[in-house]
Amino acid sequence: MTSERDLKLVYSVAVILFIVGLFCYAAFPVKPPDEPLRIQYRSATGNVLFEHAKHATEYDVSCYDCHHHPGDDEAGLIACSECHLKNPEENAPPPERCLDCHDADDIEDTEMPSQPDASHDQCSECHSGIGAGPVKQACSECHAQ
Amino acid sequence: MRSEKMFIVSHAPFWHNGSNVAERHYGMLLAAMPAVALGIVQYGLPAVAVIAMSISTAIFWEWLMNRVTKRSITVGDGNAALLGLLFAMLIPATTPWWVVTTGTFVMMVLGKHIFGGIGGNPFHPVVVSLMILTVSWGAFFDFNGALVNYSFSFNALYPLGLAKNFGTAAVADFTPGNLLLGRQIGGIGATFGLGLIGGGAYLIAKRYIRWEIAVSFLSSIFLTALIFHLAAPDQYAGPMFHLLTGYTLVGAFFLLPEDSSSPVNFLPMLIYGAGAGVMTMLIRNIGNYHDGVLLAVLLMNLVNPLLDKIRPKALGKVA
Repeated sequence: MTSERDLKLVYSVAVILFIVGLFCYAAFPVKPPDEPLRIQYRSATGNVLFEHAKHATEYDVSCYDCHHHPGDDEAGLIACSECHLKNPEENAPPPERCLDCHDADDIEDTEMPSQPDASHDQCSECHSGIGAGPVKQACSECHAQ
Repeated sequence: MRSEKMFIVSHAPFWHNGSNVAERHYGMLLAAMPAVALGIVQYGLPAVAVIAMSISTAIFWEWLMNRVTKRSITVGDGNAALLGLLFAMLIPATTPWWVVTTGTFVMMVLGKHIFGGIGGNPFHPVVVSLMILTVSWGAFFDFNGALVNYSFSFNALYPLGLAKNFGTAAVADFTPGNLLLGRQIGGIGATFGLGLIGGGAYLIAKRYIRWEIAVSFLSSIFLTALIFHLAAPDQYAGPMFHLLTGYTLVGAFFLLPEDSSSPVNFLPMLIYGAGAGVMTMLIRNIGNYHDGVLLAVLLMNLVNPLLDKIRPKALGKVA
């Protein structure tokens, strides 16, 4: 049996921890950095973990090698998925981000590759070109179960 | 001729040696502290949030179930706090508050109180809860995805995932030294090898857990991993890697030896630990999951009543 005094102590600890928990959740959430460190693409065929920071700092590639459009403006370095949607609907209007610069009429016939298609093309083209890293001989080189 | 003095016991009053359930649970909380401390250093205040929320809500659910079932209030025995801490130790520091709260609810209600409270649960409540949540919301417990916004000074990919998908060469960075110092991603309190081993040694020295279970589990992991590694060195990582990654050490010292879900006799304890070790390695190397400890614990919890049928021969006979 626990004494009244011990019970009060446990209640106090529980309440304090709850307040600390709430405070830490509210005040110190894990914020994504301005430039992503790693990006996980979730896929039924196995998730792909792209080491963004490593590509940007350790490998001899320019930001514009991947962030291709627009290619000469640092403000244009936007996330791939803002234009290349993961599951674009057929005949859907262009993603909203595109309309920041383009008129809807100008790009209504533009076919925008989905994010998986764009990533497959971009990643494999670059890796095959320089002959490094996964070169798409097997899905499991990138898609981890 | 039977000795008349052999089986004499004295009657009350007895002298209590002072140990009790609460002392044991607070001792286990203390043993977990080094590993938890490194988790807080590594993941910062978000880890504090998860730990604080997990312990406080576990205590709350325990209190609520005590009230609902009209039993005496048992939050003072430290079991709820211990389970709350263990749950937090196994999950990523980025787990949302509502997942933590749901997890502790499942743990305390479905894992423990539905079986009558402390001592009645056939499975480890933390493992029951974490497996249910993993099946329901797996993305929150995928360490690679959950920790993408953390920068580390070591390889930030989940070692067991790397080993499973890309073989031994991919985990060359994870030397035993690095793993002992916690230089790997994982659960808040599941990565610091030295801290967990120190905590485990303390638990064994204080006899809070049975060494037979921990030692047979770790030996079994070592041997099974060694056999796999010798059979295909490029495909399967070595035994030291498997001893110091994933939930192996937490499982050995905090999950498998849990009172009511583990055997009490010597041989059953050895079989229980060894069986969990073999299952863990089979799941890691052949199964679908990165880590097999939780499922192995559940499976051996299930086998536990059968194992306890292996008993020493009773002395004497009924006339």
